[in-house]
Amino acid sequence: MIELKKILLAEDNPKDVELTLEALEDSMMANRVVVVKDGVETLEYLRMQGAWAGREPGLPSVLLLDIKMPRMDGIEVLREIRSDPALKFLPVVMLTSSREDKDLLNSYYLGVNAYVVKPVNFGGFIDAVKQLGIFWGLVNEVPPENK
Amino acid sequence: MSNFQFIKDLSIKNKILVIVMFTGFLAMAAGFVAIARIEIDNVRKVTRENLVLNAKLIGDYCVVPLVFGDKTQAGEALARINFLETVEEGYLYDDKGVLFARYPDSLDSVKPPVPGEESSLSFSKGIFIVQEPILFKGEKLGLIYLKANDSEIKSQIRRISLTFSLLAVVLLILSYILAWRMQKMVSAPIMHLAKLTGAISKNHDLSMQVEQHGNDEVGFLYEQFNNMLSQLLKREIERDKALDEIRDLNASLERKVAERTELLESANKELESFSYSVSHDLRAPLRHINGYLELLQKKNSEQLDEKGKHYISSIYEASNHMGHLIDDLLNFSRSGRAELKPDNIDMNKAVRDALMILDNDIKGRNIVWDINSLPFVHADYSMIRQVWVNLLGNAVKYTKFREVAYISVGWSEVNGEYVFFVKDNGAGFDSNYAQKLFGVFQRLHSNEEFEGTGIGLANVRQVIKRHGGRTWAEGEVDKGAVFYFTLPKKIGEKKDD
Repeated sequence: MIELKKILLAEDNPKDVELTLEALEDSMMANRVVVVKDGVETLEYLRMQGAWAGREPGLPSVLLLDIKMPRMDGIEVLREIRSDPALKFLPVVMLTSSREDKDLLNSYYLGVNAYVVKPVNFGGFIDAVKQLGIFWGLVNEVPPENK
Repeated sequence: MSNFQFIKDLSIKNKILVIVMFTGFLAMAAGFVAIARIEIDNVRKVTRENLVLNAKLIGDYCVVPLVFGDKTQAGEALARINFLETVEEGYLYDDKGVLFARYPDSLDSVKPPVPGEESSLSFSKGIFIVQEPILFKGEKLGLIYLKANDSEIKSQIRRISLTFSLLAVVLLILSYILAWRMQKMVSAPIMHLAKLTGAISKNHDLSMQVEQHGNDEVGFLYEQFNNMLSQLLKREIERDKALDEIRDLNASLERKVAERTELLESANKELESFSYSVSHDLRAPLRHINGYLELLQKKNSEQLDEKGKHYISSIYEASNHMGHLIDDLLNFSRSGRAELKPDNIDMNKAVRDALMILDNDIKGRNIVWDINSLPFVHADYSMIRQVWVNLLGNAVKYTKFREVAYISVGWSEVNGEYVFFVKDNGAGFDSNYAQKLFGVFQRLHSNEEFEGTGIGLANVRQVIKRHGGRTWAEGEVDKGAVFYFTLPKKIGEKKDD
């Protein structure tokens, strides 16, 4: 059996983390999720630096990225990823409460793969996250890794 | 008058010359005629008197020859007329009227004139004829008859004419010189004024003045001209001062505008980041509340009794309402800040799209729509569509207790403005509070009766105001309401040009 790739969730709010994991639990993907608390940690994970220096190598199948985070926000992380030859093709999905045109435009300009606004209604939220997990974790074919 | 046109076109200098010389010539001619008349009369009178006197004198010389009948002596006496320049012929008659002697002798063959009895003097065809009886001691001895020419008068006339001609030439020359001087006196100051005016308008220098001139009309003109110049100068100085002030004001105004714009921009930025935070940070806890509520319902519902379940649904409703409030407030702040992108838009489409958005609320309702065909207007499409969403949404909402709801949409054109309205037969409102309707968070109905956030109409007013229009409403409790808004027509027409 092929080892399934991780899903990286960048989210600073523990409640959002918990609810997201609850949503993914139904589709049995919760155990594949790695949670990072801000933009800096996200990049450390991806580049195997700092606390994540000793992790198993390999990129996640998708990065679910919140925009508003401490230290370094999601837009900056996205810019960093797209300008790093090693991370460039990583599928990135914005998962945010912001519906602001500014954020949408910035994200698409920087080459985001999808932009999902967290629905206020939990049922909708569960559906959205479930679909995201299935699509990006199972259906979508990731680009070959750049070594 | 056309006869004098050529005078009008003459320069003032030549006008004065012509007038002065003409007047001088006329005066001279009149003087000449008058003096010549008097002179000629005088000469004529003197000639006559002399003639009569000479006739009497020569008659006296002839007394003795007549008494003695001595014709030779009479001829000698008569020959004295030789000394009289003008007398050409002389005849002496005796007391019987018979010719006694004549002079000159060369006239012997000519028949002598027939004399009258009395003394007489006549003048005709340049010839004077005088006859004078010769008396001695009261007794008539004979008659003397003299014939004289008017050469004296003619030469007198020649002399006068010559004198006057000479005089006329001298006077004309004098009057020309005089007129030349006079025209200089009159036209020179005018030319001076004209040159100065030219210099003023060329150099734009109002500080120039004409030097004072005498007290005549030109002097008055100069004075008035100087007055006018100093008034113009005063006004120019005042204007320059005012312009400077305006410039200063403008500069300070621009400075102020720049300062204010900066302030406004930073305020706007703050507001933007504020509403950004609101959209992100206020929504997150709501989402969490909803999420945990749902988890509670899903995973722990067996442990909850009816009351517990009621609490959960109440919390759920409250947080949903909060969610709507946040969304509406964000919309409101966005429609206040977002740039207007006006275009020529079809109001029919805006209404159709609004109804599509309201589809969920309309579904299952019995509504009779009466929507008139609407015009094109010049406005921001998405903002105007939101206006229709709010107004039509309200109409749908407030007629929800009607078995059949009547909602009509129409328009008219008043004073260059489009007036649109949405009319319903819903709950209506107390018209005393009509103005409150358009305020933020202002509601005239309880949330229990009609759910809502109290932002929709505030949003309508804000959008319409930004388009240069007005909003108002009419209503009556339980009878229905009409909401109006206007859009200026002018902008729309500009687009068509």
